[in-house]
Amino acid sequence: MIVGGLIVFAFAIPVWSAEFRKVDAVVPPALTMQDMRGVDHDLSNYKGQVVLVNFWASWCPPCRKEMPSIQRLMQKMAGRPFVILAIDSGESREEADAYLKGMPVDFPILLDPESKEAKSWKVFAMPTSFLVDKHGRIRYVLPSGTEWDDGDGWRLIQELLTE
Amino acid sequence: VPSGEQLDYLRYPSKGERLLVWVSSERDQAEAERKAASELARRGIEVWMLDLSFSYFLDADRKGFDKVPAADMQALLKLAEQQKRPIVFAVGRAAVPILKAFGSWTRNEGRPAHLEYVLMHPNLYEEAEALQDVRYLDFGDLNGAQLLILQPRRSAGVVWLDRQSEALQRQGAEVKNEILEQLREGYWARQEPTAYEIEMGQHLADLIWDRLSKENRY
Repeated sequence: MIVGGLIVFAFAIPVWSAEFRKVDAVVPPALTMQDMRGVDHDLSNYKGQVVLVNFWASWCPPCRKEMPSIQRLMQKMAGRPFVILAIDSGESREEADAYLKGMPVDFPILLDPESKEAKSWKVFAMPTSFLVDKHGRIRYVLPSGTEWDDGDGWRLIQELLTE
Repeated sequence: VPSGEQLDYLRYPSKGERLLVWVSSERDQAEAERKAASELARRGIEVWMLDLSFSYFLDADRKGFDKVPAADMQALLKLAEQQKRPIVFAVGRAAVPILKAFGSWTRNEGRPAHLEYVLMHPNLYEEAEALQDVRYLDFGDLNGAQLLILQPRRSAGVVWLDRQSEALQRQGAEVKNEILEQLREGYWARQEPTAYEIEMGQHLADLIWDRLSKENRY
């Protein structure tokens, strides 16, 4: 047997803290969904507010890691023109429920079991987040996780709010 | 190999007719893979197991593997062809150099009429930026490449399987996709595996063996 390799294994390197990519005020795909509580959401109705659209899944370690920071972000932003739409992609209600039982959140969770929205928004990694400005245009994309209540995510949301 | 590099591999000898050329992913080779190779050899499939990251000192990212010369992989496949009936098993971005090898290999250079591949969650993107159309790599002429793609369900890659198939078929490959339910990419070596991933990681040899049997590849 020929020994052929130094064995250093790191399969589960989490996707974390990549850079936000600035985009040129892209018109987002239509997004009309009902959340797990039965409330209808239409992204086009949120003009005048900054929106964080977050694609996640419960099997994804960086999604789970950033979820508490999204909850803290929501609490910090209470009363301000800011909305979070967290889209659970490729999972059933049961899978979402099982995860949220241990990680309850106050923001809307939208189910995308067939990943139609993920395809429409051209999402290639989990998590992927989009910051939508008050005019309803996508301004930033983050194809990874982050701490949303601190750092670049927080700063960019504040910038978009003051425009 | 033609580039002058020495291509080391682990060889798991067996007396059977088939030879599995196993190319580990950009995330390095795991103990579970070596155990699976050993088990397959015990069942009669010889395995040559490559770790291109080590052989070429590549960066542990997807673009690193794109630097592996196609001629080197062709040399490996030629060697395999001379000895037994080969089938390729490649994980993640490792599918790229091994597909390029076939795609750029001409009949005059001894390319076989058919070559079978089992690709575990292959990463074949040229560009995959959110909000932008996905672009897949061009491998050349894949006529005669018979691809079975195994895609764990718990992956963003599932969303793009149909586009990936279309891109490969346009290049001439035959493509079959199979979803592996309740699993994540690299499930046999995750840092925080689920109980099911641990169990299935111990049955990697069974997974490959079953697929080779199902496809009449063994």
